[in-house]
Amino acid sequence: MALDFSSLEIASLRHLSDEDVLAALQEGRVQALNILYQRYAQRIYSLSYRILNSAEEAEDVTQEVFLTLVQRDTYQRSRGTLKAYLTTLTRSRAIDKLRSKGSRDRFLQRWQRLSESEQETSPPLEAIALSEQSHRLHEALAALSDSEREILEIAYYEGCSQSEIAKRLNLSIGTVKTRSRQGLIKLRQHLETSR
Amino acid sequence: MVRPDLPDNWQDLVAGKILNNLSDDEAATLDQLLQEHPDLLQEVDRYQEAFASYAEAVPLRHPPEQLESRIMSLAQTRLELTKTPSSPMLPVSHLKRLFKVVLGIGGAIAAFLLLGFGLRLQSLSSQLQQANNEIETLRRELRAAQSQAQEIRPVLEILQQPRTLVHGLEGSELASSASGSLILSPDNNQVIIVVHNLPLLADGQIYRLWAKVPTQNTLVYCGQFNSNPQGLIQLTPASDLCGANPTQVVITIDAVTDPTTQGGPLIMHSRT
Repeated sequence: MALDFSSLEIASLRHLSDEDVLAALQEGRVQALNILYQRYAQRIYSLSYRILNSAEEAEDVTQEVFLTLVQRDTYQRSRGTLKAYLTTLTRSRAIDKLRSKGSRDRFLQRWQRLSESEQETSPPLEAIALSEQSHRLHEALAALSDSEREILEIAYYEGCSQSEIAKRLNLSIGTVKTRSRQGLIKLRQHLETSR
Repeated sequence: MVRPDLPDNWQDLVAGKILNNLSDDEAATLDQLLQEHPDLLQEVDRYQEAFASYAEAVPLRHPPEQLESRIMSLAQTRLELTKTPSSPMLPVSHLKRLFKVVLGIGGAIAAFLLLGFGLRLQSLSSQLQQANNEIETLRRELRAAQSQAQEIRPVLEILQQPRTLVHGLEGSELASSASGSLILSPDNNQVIIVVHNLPLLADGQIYRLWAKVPTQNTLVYCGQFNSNPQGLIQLTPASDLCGANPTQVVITIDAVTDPTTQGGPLIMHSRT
């Protein structure tokens, strides 16, 4: 069977760096998006799902993020890696969507329902990739106190301000500020020493 | 990190910047520090990376199969729209004249040709759809095969090492149906655990691996891991002693916050 043109195109792009693949996409070679999708779709979808707890909305965010790449001048190499850019963009889009629904309470209810249903049945989770990197990360996160971890998770996954976190956890703003900073300092130090 | 050239709270200020919870005074102090010590900007980036590492901590999920083709189709459309210059608008009078000419001279012929093209297009469209479906099926099968090969590769690589040790694992009373093997490679400092029926962990729990080493009076902590549906876990031992010919290996279940000085309830152990 003869290979079709798009298969050859994809094969030729597969060994290029992210930046070169993106450049090819912006030159109009749509197969370059296949490569970026294979590299990052799972991560983008998983982060969106973690923030939104909705498969449908996670699909929407994943679609938005990849279509953003089709536009020119959306990513600047000087400001970091494409992976970091995609992570930031995904988090930002997902949190915007979460806020636009104005449904933090509804989110909590859905989260609780999801947690309950996952405990009752086999969870639909795919495997957590237990690479060396994720192992180090889990060890670093395990070094935080419960409170530090909870505050940082709310800040990262929901984009809440310290006053919103303080209200939700019934803590003073000063306590939230102190614990979030201590937690981040610990996380930074553990990740540095385990490099 | 100790920086005698900086105030004691510099890390606090950098963390506050990343968390967006600096007061006006703190923000001014940090701006001043960054001006005086531009190298501190690298540290700001490191803190940003540490915060962004939460993105790496989420459980991985596969996006739905059809999402890729939907995105590719939309991307193709957008790229074509950006490439195609907009058609110049014809004056209305020209359009009317053209319309009359077409109606007057070639109306019947055009209708006949259009009908023929329509039938041919429908046939081609059907064939294309069928071909696309076959391609999609092959792609799915290829992805599944690649994924399986990727998972098995580390096991094969470790088994090829000359000093690799293999321990058979059996479940304790808490996991009586669990079974598996532990493959330990001192050469490249890796442990692979292949398990079946290992119970799923509740939130806040973790499995920990320990080794009984002749030179030590207590069990040596070797690392921790979560269960996963594939039952294939790879980790780097926390201590070199783990690779020093352990006489037995055990797996315990612990709270994530428990110290690693002693293990919790026994879940699996190697056959002695």
